Amino acid sequence: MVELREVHRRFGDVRAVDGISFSLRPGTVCGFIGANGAGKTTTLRLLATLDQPDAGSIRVAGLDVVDRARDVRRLLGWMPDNTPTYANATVIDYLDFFARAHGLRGAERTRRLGETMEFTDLHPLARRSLKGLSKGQLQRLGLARMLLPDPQLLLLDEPAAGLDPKARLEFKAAVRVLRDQGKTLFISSHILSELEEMCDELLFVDQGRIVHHGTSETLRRGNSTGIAVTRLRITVAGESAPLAEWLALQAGWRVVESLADGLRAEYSGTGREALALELRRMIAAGHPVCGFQVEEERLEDVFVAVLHKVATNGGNGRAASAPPSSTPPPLPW
Amino acid sequence: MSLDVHEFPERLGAITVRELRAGLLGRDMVWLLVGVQLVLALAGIYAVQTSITSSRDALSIMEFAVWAGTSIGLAILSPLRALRALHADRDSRLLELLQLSSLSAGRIVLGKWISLAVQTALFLVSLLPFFALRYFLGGADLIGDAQVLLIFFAVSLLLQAAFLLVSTFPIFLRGLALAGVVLVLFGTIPMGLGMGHGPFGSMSRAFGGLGKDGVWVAVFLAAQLVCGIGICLTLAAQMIAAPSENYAGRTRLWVGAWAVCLVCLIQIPRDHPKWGDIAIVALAGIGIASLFELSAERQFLPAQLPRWALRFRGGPVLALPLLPGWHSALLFYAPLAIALLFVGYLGNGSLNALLLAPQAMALALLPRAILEAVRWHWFGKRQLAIFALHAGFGVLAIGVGAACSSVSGKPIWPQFFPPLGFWNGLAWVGPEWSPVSGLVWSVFLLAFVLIVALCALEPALKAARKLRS
Repeated sequence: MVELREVHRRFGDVRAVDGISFSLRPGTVCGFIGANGAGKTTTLRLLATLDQPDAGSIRVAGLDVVDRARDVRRLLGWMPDNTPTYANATVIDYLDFFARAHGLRGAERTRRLGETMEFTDLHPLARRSLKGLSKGQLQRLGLARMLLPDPQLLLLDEPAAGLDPKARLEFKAAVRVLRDQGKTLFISSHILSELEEMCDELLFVDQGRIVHHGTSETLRRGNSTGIAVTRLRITVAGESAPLAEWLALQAGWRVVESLADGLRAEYSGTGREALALELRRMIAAGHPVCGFQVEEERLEDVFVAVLHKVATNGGNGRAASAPPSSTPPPLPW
Repeated sequence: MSLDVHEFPERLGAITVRELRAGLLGRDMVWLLVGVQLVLALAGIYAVQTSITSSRDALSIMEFAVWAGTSIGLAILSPLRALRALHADRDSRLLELLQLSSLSAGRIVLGKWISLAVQTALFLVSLLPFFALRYFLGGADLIGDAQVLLIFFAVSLLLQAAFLLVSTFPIFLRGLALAGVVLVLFGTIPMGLGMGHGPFGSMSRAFGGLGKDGVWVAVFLAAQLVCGIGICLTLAAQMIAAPSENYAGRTRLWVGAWAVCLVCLIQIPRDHPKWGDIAIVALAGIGIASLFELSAERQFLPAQLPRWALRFRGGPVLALPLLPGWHSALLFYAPLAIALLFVGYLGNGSLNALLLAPQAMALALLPRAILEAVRWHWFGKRQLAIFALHAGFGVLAIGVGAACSSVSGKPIWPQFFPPLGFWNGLAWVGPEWSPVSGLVWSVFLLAFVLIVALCALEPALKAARKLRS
């Protein structure tokens, strides 16, 4: 569905996108993750034909986004991080405007309006002024607007930013439904835990370059040192310092951080029997352990570790390549 | 729940419908209508009371009130509303969402202009009862007033198109344009009111004085007005369009139509005292468009080639003058300038004003030609270098103009902007004005720049070959 090859985009001296290459299969939900300024929004805008690459090629359904921009736009929907609105309009006015803008006419327009408002639960707000909408309601409005022309590729830039937990749950449910309808979604965010639940694939970007493309499992495996490590959260009744000191002397244990009611540690071993034995040893040593829970490694920690590895290796072994000399001049406006 | 979204006909564009829905509900429109109606109603009541003692005073009061209201509404407030039309959408990024729809930049701009025009017409219609009231206060030439109102409305439409173009500029330039135009309008409109409907009244009476020719003059002026609106709207579309959209061709076709109307216009009586002024003002449309286009640096993309150009061999070459960028603009404006030059030489009297067009275009190109020829970037600030070169020529022009004035014994004014004075100065070979040297310099310069442009068109030709294959 989507294919990027050696895409570069530069703003003055800043390389916002530095040789990105990846492809997405139809019907995939891909999370696009990176810190602020990593190049996520620039990449999305290039895909959305709102900007042009300095070099490289971007194809959507086999169509070049530069040469066939008009055709590509018929296939995609774009949801920016803030839903732009205009004055003196209601929800229905806003959606009707975009429905007309997308060429929907007569009964078909009414039908699509009804469907998208039903999907995003906007019927009760149809006559409400745009000025009075909350952040979550504006997000639903943006989603409805994007879905009006029934696009196949959906590009969402930080869709969950600033939403309350209920709105985030609703958004995740909507993503699942859209995926089941066969749409391809490309969602950028810096909230890893949410993307991990929603997405089939994760694409990590840092300083305009891809540092990982795969699932969260492959990310964790790729970060590992080859030794199986189990992360545990140990809760104690009382001070955790004695336990931390004891663990520091035990083979295979490493204390990661102290918590208010215990500590987080890593044990270089797996298997329930081994863990049960370690728990018995702790209790036998007199430590007041009242909680012993295996934790999956947080994706945020894995991501930070990956970035650190990349920085230490001088950038994933690949030299930064300058755009070719046939780069067209920057636009003056 | 029923969705009632069909109160506007389907054939109306999305932008027009949106602007009508939002614009008619907007506070500024409501206050404008209500406020002006209130003021005129109060003026009417006062005038009726005054008519008991002096009908002449009553008529004067109503005259001033209706023309002031019309001036303020059509010549100031309506264009100012156009000034906010596009930059608000661009700053809020709504324009990006529209670019991803099936709406082209041209339809967006046209939709906004149509809705402004409809609202202006609505405003004008709301004033008509007060115009009619004057008849009962002591008589008024309603037919003559209708003519003036029509001219006023037409000029307002042109002003709105121009301000729509300005609304695409960066904020600094928008502010400058706003300050300049408001200064001019506030300066001329009140003065004009005291002189009997101002310049539009004079224009209306001038048409009457031309007899049968006045009809043709009106027709060609109306055609130029339409072309002027077309030029402003296509330039505005060019400013907001995505890089793959090409509006340069359409702008140049409007400019071509403008030039044809101008040439037709000046075939009509040339000995009218205001003729030279009309011709010179009419030239401004070509000058403004050419300045825009000849300073545009735009990336060439194969998608910008029109579809008809791909249907036959040689099509891409024919389409080259219609592509964005100053190189292609040169291929259009240079022949146009030379054509106007010959038309100017074939004429006499005020037709000599046409000589200004090619000289203006040639001089706008001179700094560009030097830049491109020597690849002089000046710390990467190409635009700054272009402006600096223009300023440098300006200073040189004033100096040469002053020197030639002292030689020829008569003042040589810099005309409209300094670079022209340079050429006019060179053209004065003695006490009599001779355009020959100006012609020689202009042709030489245009030929030089054409060579530069043809070399720079290589990427366009390559892309055309690639698309055809």
